[in-house]
Amino acid sequence: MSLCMSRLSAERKEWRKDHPFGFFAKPARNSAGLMDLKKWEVGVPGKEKTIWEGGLFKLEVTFPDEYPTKPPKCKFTPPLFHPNVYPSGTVCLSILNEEEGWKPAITIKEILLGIQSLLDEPNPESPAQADAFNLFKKDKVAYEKKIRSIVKENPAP
Amino acid sequence: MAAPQAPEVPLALPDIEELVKTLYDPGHARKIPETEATLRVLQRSPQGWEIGDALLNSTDENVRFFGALTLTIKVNADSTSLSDEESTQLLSKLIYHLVTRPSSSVATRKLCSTLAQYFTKPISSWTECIRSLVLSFALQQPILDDALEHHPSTWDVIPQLPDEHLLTLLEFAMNLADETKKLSNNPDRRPHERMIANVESVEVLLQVSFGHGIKCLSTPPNEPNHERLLQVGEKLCVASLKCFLGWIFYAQSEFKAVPEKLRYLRSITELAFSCLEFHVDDAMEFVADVLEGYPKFFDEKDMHMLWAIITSQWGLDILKDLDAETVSLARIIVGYGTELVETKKLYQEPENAHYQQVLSFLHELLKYPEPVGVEDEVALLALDFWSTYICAIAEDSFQYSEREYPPWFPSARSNAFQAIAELLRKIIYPGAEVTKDWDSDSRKTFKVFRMDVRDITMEAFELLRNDLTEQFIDFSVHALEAKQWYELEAGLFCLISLADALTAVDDKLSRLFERPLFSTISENTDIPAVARRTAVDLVAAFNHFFMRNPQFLPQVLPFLLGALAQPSLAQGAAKSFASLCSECRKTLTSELPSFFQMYDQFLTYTTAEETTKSKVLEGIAAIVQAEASEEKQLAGLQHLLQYIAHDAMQALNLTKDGNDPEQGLVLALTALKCLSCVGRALQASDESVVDLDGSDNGSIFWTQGPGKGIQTQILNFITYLTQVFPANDEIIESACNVLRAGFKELVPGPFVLPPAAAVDYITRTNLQTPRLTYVLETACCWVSCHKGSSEFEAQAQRLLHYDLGIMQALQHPRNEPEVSVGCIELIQSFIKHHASILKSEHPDVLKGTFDFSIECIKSPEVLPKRAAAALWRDIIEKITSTGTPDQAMCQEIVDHFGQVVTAALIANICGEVDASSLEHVAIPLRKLIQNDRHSKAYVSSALAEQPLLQRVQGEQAVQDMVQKFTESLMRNAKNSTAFKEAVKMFWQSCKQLQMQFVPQTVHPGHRFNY
Repeated sequence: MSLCMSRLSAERKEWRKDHPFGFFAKPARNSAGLMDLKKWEVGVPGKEKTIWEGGLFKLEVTFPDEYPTKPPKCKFTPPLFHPNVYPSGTVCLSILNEEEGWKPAITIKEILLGIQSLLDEPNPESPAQADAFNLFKKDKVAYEKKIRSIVKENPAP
Repeated sequence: MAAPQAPEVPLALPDIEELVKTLYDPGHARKIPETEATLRVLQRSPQGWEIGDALLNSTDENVRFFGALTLTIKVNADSTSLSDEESTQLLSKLIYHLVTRPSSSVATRKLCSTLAQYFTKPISSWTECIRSLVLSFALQQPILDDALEHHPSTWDVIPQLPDEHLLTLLEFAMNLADETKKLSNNPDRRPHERMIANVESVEVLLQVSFGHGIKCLSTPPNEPNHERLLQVGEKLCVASLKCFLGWIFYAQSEFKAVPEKLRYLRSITELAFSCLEFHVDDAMEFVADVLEGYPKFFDEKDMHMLWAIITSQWGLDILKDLDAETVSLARIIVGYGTELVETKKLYQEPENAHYQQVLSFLHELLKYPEPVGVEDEVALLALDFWSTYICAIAEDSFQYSEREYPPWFPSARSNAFQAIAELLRKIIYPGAEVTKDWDSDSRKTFKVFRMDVRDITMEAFELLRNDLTEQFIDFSVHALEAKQWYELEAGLFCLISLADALTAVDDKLSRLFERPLFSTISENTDIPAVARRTAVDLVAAFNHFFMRNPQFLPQVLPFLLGALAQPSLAQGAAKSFASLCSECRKTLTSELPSFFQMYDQFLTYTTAEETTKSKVLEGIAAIVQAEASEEKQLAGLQHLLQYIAHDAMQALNLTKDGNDPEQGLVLALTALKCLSCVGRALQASDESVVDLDGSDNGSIFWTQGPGKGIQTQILNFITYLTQVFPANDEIIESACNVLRAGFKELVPGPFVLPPAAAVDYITRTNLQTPRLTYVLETACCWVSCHKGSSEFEAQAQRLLHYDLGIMQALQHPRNEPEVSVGCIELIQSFIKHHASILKSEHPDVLKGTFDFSIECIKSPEVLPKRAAAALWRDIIEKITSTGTPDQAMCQEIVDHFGQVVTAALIANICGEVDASSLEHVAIPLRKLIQNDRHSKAYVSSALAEQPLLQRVQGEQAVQDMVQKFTESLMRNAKNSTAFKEAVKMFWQSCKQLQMQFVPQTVHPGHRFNY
């Protein structure tokens, strides 16, 4: 088994054994019902006591062949209204950047917890979409209202 | 022991002792911080050694404790400065204090820890510490390593020691293991070598202590000292277990080079096991800890012995009823089973009677009647085991193809099957009379347990496939017939977990869905809310099944509309309703009248608000879209718009009169949201055949025919509502969404408005409009969707002027960086789709536009910078599309602005840009070098003009670097990786130069831009 695959299968075991409440993460199935270890469907819940509480946001996590040397790509599906999410849905987070904070030791659990923290703590230093960043900067009340409506559209089970 | 120039002890010893006493005296709470501070200084002073020693002579246990603490601090902080002689002296003192007062006090325990820490230090002169302490206890004076050989063997001495001494020795030996284990990453192996030299003595200590303890525990009840002996026995066994556990885990990490020494520890195992049957506190935890952490410590003989104990009357009694001991024993059984799964024996040797028995015990653990969450903690443990078991088999079975499964497979499979059946029973909600008393933690535990079961079920599906599906279907069918709603809920819950994987078993699922499942749930008011909710989730999960089998929809859709009445289900039901109607629209047109009736009913519920209304209308509108003729669609739409008009009118009335502007806004938003959802539903579905040659696309039904009224109405909604709420961000966004609904349509339709309509709306907005970023995004969409329209040029011209107007009003991108991004992206869509439109613009206007884009490149704001870089990438790329009008236009732009753009890009690369935008800036530069013959001159002059490089002009090394960079750019323009690398290297060098010479020129906006 390649390093990538053996690591992913270890990650899967680890996740099954221990994962934070409200999250889910599993390899995606293709149309024939077969599992693809290099593409995961994950769900990140909004943190309690934040405006994101009660929401569950789905992402597609794609692992390159060079994983864990290179980081996976995390993409909200559909794209999320958030200052640090590119219009394509890709998450802009330092630990997911090969040239910044990525380390092969970072686990899937840590990535997802990182994304969860990012939801309520946007990083104004690295905006990724103009629309959400602008509302976040200019009108906090409208921004929070918008987030609440997004949470309503993506309710946690 | 004193360091050079040590000041005298600042306080007399009796005073220090007094201070320590006040620390523990409840009357002096206010003085505590001050006292602590003074004592801390004393402890760390060079006299700390003497102070600690002196305090240990006190008769007050608190003072002794403080003395031991002081010496611990000194040992950790200052022991390296001790000479060999001082070190030996310190050791003697510590031993002396320990052996002369071995009461079981905190001070004694602290001293044990001080001694253990001393042992681990490089200055320690102590090797055979256990034997040394044993003899010191026996002779009541310190006996160090050099004197050990003159005394009888440890075996002969330990049995003579009183219990008190044994307990202190065990405490010390446990600390020793814990402290030395902390050094496991230390390259210096000497402490470990000294440690391992003690293992034989530890064996003796543990043999004697356990032996004596068990003997005490075995005293018959009629003995005079029975109670006291039981207490002594318990104490000795508990301390021995703790010490033993410490040494086992020490051995796990440090005995790798000396595996043969493990036998000294293994010889104790049987004694430790015998503590189980005496119900010694912690005995079960001890066994479970070893099984979970270092299962290989127990050899086969031990494992068999352990199993014999588990299955003895003692074990059976514990397992009979659920209590705290059952949980502990379950941990052992789970640990035992897990170890057997690790070695694969448990499933690969199905004939083995022992393994069969182990499995049957593990099944039994799932059968306690108490509910998970509050009472049954055993099921949580057993769940872990079965998860491990199922995953191990699933992983193993990947190696085999379906036809050549190994002989053990059927039995492993049947165990997995049975476990899932048992888990299914455990996830059944215990009923409101039980759950009403649960606190939030219990609820969460139960919920997490159910989620975990769901995960295992998905895993088990890989092994069990159709058998599992049928099991859940049968279970649900049976529960439905028996009206056991909580059982039904559990069955459906498990089915949901398989939904994604069930693609080719519609016949099996039909067995469930052809029963009156949904109508039963709709009609029975006594069905628990949780079952109703799971049924709503079931519809969402089996969306695809119902799309393939629309014959079930007449049962499902009314169920969903009924579920809308309940606040907790409304959102999910509305969502499922919309998606099912949308996917199965063609089969539902005959149901339309009844859906309108149901909608009227729904409007009377309190749950009818923005999101539910818009979703339900979206569903109904999808059916309208499937109507066969435009006339029929018109009729349906008129009906739909009546609902929307009602909300819109009310919104206007409430707001105009100032009655309730807040509620007015809510209704205005509802109207627009519903309108955009209806618009989305009316988009031609993907599967409908589109006649691309346009012969049939000329219907004027909606623009000039009978449907024109609908379009007018839609536009009126937008106009009026945005006029009344011009400053509301959500209104603006929703209005844009209504307009966008028709953009991508290829054939005429009610929401395919005249191209001018959207432009009219967009051009009415200005810098004060909230969500202007979204409006500009809408403008970009308009350009890409209308490029083929006959009205394009005229309307695009209007948009362009609007864009220029915004840029002029902005003056500089930094004033509104995100709006600038929108402006640039709009220009970019013109370039992409119709660059020649710029031709008719006055040169001053063009200059204004492109100067603005260049300001964006220079600005430290990352988003405008990247957007402008992308714009220039597109402009330069267009130069290559030879012969087109766009090419000529772009060539003109590049000829005009090439030099300035190059200068802006180069300035970025000379250290101005942030790391993450560097790549974006490099792309247009590479394109320019590839496509423009002047590029070399542009680059050279841009580099020559860079203030940073000018400052270090005189340096040959810098000149060489610049020259090398220019050459590398020119050479590598065709190779994107090499080009990127060259840019990055140069950028890094410039960054260093910035730091080195002129740190103040680092743009303030960049400091945190990483």
